[in-house]
Amino acid sequence: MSLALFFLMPLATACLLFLWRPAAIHSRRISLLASAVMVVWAFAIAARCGDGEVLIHSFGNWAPPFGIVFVVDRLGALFITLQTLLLFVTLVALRPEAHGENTVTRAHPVLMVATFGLFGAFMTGDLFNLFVMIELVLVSSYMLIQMPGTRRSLVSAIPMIVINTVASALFIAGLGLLYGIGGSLNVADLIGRIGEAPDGLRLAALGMLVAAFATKAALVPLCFWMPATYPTLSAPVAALFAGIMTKLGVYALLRISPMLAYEPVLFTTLMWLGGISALLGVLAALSQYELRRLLSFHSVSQVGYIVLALGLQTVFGIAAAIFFALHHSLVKFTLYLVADELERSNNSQDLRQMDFRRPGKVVLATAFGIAAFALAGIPPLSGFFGKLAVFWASFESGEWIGLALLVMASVFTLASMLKIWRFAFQRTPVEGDSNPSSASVFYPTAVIMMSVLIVLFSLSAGPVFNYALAAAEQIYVVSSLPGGGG
Amino acid sequence: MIPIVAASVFLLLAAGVYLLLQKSWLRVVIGLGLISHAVHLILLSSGRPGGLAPVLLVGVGIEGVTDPLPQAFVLTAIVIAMAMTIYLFAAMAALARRGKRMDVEPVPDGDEDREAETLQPDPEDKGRAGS
Repeated sequence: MSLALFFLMPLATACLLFLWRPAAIHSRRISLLASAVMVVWAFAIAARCGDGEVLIHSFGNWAPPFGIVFVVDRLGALFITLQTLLLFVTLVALRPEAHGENTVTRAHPVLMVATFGLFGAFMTGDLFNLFVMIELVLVSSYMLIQMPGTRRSLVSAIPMIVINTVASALFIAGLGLLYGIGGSLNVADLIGRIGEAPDGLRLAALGMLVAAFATKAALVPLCFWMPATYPTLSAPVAALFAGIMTKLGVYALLRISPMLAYEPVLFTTLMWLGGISALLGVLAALSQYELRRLLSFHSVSQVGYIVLALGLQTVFGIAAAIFFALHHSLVKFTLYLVADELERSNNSQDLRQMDFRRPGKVVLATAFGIAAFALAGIPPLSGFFGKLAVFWASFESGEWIGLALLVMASVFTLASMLKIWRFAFQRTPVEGDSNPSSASVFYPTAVIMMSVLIVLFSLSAGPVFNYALAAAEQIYVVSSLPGGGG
Repeated sequence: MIPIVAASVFLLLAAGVYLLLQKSWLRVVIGLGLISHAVHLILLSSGRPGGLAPVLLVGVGIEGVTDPLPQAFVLTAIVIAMAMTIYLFAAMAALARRGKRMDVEPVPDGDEDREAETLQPDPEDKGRAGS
């Protein structure tokens, strides 16, 4: 019961904000309060799941696999907790003073609806509801992208909408074939049912699902909608998207990975796509001068690491993928928040025009340093453990080419972070530069919160990795999920 | 039954992909609609259409009864596809009201364009700015 209440909470908040339309300051307070409650609640859920318990809510008391069922296991709990944390910091960072009252009041309810969709996607036990929830998240993301109403925001969202709609069509077609083969769409039920299916049909069905999820995760041949759209979003919202939206595709791939075990060729494909994404994404990032575009090409590269680890088809690889996904969400989110401060103080997204000279530089530079070092994988920080796990997993599986691709990508990652550092923080002022520093105020709260969070995450890397390992094992124990045939 | 469905799916997909590759956004949106219809037919046909209504009657077995679940799926999917199409048309309308051509064009990048465009808000949007 409490699971359903938790799921409905963001929707209720969104309805309240839509109907009441309070002033920006009240809207901010209400959403902050709601999201703080959700953070605590999510941690409570994660703690319960940590003991190996699987929380289940069957709507209308229809027993699985017949009814609609919500299932939260370790994997779902991790992603739910991540989303609540990022939502809270997004709301802290999204200030009426800094981003405009209209932007803020319009964004709050839509963010809540997106959260509702993400919760649903992370909780649902069947693939059709996953489709519905992903569509919900996508519609809210279209609204957030087009909200500024400028030509760029309107035009840049359309390719994203078209590409994602085609991906959704693939998703539905895959669902149709899967239902035809297995007679069910409950994930746990399906794993047991598609074992004796004709190979060609099963390969086609799962291949379509993988293609759809790879598009949403922005893997290399299918990624170009992402760098085009993220620079037009309101910066904290872009941060949330960069943190969690691509992970939705990754989550869906993790969820169906036990099914993919019937078709190892899909795992191999994912591994190669991941390796190529990791290298090409970071090379594309290196060539960019627009800060957020650079960062979003970086996401392509980092998602490549995750998907490569997933494609290794070992439990350790899946655990590495989960850990890396969490790490990358936190770090990329922080980098976007820093980018937001840099953009507002320079009134430009172009690195070549950046010249950060106002008070708060030290705080911002420290936060950027922590996040950039974490992303590059410098030892005490979380990126080191994430990369170590992914490298170790590919080493164990003997995937030398994949390992080489990832190592090369790591070197370029460090190079691209140094590029941002040199342009944004280390530039010597040129004579005649206008000094825009007085135009905007530095709001350090969100950036400091995220830096502390990254450090905490790095310090607790051991327990979190154990949790991820347990989650990876749990995905493969079919009988632990309701409706499972085992 | 299945050959007819397969042929329809093929036709709808072919027409949809053709429209998707056109230059005008409006045709792209219509193409997306056709593609959605094609995949809805695939989903619908997964219910092994038997022709009889899915009602359990005394003395009648379940042979030949259509599986009702795909129909429920398709109903949901149709609603979602319709909402997406409407959303896309609304986005087109917003673009058109700004006097832009409705053709596919490269996504502009760089701030110059963005700053220039912010100065020309939608003329019809004034009264609704706060809503």
